[in-house]
Amino acid sequence: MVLQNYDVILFLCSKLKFIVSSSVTEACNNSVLLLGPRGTGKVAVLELVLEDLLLEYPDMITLSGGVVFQIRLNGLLHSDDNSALKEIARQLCVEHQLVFSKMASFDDNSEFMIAMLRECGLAHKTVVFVLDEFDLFTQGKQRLLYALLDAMQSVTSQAVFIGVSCRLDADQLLEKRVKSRFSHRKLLFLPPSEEEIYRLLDHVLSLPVDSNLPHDYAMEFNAKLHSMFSDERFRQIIDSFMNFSPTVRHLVKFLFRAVSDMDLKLSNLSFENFKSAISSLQRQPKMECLRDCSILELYILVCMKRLEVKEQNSYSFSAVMKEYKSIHDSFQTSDYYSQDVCLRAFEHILQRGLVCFADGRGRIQSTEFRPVKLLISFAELSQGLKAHHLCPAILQKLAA
Amino acid sequence: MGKDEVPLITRRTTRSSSATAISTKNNVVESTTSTNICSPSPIDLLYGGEPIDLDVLLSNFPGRHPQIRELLQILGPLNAPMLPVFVYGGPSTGKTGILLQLFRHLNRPFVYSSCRTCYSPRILFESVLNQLSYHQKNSTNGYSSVKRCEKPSDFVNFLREALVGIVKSLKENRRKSKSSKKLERSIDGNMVYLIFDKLELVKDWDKSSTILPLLFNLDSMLNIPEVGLIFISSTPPDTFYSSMGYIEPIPLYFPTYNEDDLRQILVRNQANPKLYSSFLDVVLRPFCRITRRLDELSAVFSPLFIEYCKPLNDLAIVPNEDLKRKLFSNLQPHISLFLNETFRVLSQSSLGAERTKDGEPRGSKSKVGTCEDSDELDFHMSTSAKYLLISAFLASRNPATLDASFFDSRGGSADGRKRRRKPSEMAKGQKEAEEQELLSKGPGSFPLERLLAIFQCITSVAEDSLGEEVQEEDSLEVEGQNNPLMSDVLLQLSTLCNANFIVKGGTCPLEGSTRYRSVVSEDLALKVAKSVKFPLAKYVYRR
Repeated sequence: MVLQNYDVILFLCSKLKFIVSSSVTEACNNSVLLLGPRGTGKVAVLELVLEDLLLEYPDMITLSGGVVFQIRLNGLLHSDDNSALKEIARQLCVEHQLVFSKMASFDDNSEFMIAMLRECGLAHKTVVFVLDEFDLFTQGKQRLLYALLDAMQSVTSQAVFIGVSCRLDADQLLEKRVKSRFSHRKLLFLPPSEEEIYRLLDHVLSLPVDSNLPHDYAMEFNAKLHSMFSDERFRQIIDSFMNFSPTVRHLVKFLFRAVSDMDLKLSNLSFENFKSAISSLQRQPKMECLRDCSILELYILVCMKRLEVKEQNSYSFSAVMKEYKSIHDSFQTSDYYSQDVCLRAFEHILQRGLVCFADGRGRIQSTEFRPVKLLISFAELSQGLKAHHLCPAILQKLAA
Repeated sequence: MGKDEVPLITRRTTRSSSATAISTKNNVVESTTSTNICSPSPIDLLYGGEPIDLDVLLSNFPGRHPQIRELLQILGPLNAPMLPVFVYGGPSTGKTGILLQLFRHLNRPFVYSSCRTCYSPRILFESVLNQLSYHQKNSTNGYSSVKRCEKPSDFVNFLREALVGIVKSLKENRRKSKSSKKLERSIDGNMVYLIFDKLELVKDWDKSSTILPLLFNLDSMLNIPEVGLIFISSTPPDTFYSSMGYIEPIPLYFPTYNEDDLRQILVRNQANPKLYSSFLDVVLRPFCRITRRLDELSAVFSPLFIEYCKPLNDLAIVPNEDLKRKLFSNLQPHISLFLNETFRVLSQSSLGAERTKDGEPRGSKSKVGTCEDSDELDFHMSTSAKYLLISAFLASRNPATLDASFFDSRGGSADGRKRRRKPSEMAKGQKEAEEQELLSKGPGSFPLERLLAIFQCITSVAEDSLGEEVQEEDSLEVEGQNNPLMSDVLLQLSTLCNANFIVKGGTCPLEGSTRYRSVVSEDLALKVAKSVKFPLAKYVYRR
């Protein structure tokens, strides 16, 4: 597994395992929060731990399910209490081969859940509740959380409650009554450091020597890979990657892109693959938009910039048109078009996200009179003008 | 470029047409199930028609070789799992077209749903589920979907079931096809791809704050390696950032075409490529300064090309240098005219007017819209509606305090102006600046009573002038006291509101009445006034 080389992860793994297995062996309830930025391996660790436990405590002779089974909820889908309880009931039914009725009401479902918890407790089966995007469950009245944690306390149940969240302050979001029933255990996941990243790279990219690939080819591939790791340019790429976002999932995305770029004829990963991968992942969308603009659209952007420099707090499209006309009058440019054409060009840049309305949604006025503002900085604008291959010199002078 | 080709196969039409042909007296539904020529299978998810070669694909989309290559790399060889991809670029840059043709070439099953036709979460969910269960809405099932699915939680559960089912049947088909030789069309691979098009429209939905993270996290929620997700949008991924956060998909950028690519694309499918390319030599560069979008350029070039070819008798001719120069000088005056009308959609009547006036030199017309075809209104309005529109325009344009001077109680024209002193130079300059400011703030709002007052004034003027002319409109009966144009004013007002000539503002809780605002341009108001012979210029506040 990818994560076995990862020391911190091992430590967290063992801790989590201890928590869950103590619930199994000592028949008690436990609760824990897994916190950390996106892509640092929280769910992956959880899956590992549960897999391990299933191996350790294999299926007893009971008819319905193993000793440990999990109920998974997701904050994006089940933040509403009704749907959450429905989902819990559905998963309980699936696990125990019962028939699930879609028409059951909220009360029915919650009674069912409490009854099942009691039964599982009596039969010494541990229920693991996994709540992804835990912070989304804390919106509203937190009825579900309270019901779950309360049931765990009062009913003779054997349950583990694991919340997974990317908000590091997720436990501060809990209400007082929920917080009091929650053991304040948190496991913090952090992105890997540089040397851990190199170890991960090695582990992921090296070909296994004893698989069905020809042995010589695998050895040669790995040797080339290791020599590339010590190359200075490669280290620069990894440095820029670390500055950007060093979580494990981003690393996997980066490696996927590099591997998909691999030239199958060369049958080796080369430095260019990584270079093109990093450049395709680190994009500058506003620069790309600016390079795609037509010259009239650039004129409008420059006019807006000049209006903002003159510190006009709110200006509308008609003010931009006046500025455009004054530029034409003073410099006699060849690009002077009618109001309709300019309005349409303005709508193009609105669509692309380079400018936006300053008054939010819901105003009924027409496009010409609503206040607008630039969404790019002046530096970006001048950079984009320089990079544009057809930009007239006058525009660059005006934007300076 | 807008032609959404639904991935259906001719097989479906034969199934339903055969069903209706053999329909029994009792139940059409029964006969559909009994005449099952072909059971639904993953083949229905392929692109209809024969698969194409990579060369054909590359030649169909000039200028897109790097993007096609990158897409092929990310999609990978057969059965290679993939991370979600986010394809973005300006409108009409070929994103949807290339993706669909690519799947035609790769011969892999996919599910396509566009967030423009599926304009709410429920319709989107049901469309995806329908396609996955090979269900088509027709009259036998009352145009209903396979399952009713409104909540995201239900959607993820159903989706998981359907995808697992499809992947299983794909693997079985593979085994079957190995054993039996006869199969109409084979599918490549065990993977299913979900394509979500026009994603930028989801940002305007009510539930966008839950739907967007759901779609972007769908990959990790489903956790099925045989499913690939592809998103298409015309805005870049940074416009989708939200506070929720998600692992971003792999971005793939389609830049707008540069001039050479545009030329290559526009020359395709032309009857006389050499003539068209000499035409493009002349017009492409100036028009590219305004817009580089392919759809707008092709829309403006088609009438211009007709103008270009006017002096030619034989359209199949290959022009030499001399002829090119002649054609260019002929086209020159039209170019500047068309430059300022790049985005104007020519109405039918004006197109006809252009064709009949053959010998008219159009270059003599000025830019301010006094072309013969734009002097008249393109649409028909009743007289009272026209007067109402004019009064709304005046009410929005003039400040309320000047009403008394403009409109006498008898409805005379601005006689008061003769009595005013001649303003001094400074006052004039000030007034001009004020007027400019007023104009730039946009049309003002007015209550209903003011509108009706102005309307009454104006129409009593019109009454007098109408009485002098011959009655043409027989619906109007000039009576002594009642002003016939006043009838149904409120009905006309609501019609104008629906047609977006007048916009209704919010009610002010202090004043208690709704305020309206006229959003017509001055050009349109002038046209309307001219059609009823109303001296608009005398009533508009200026200087």
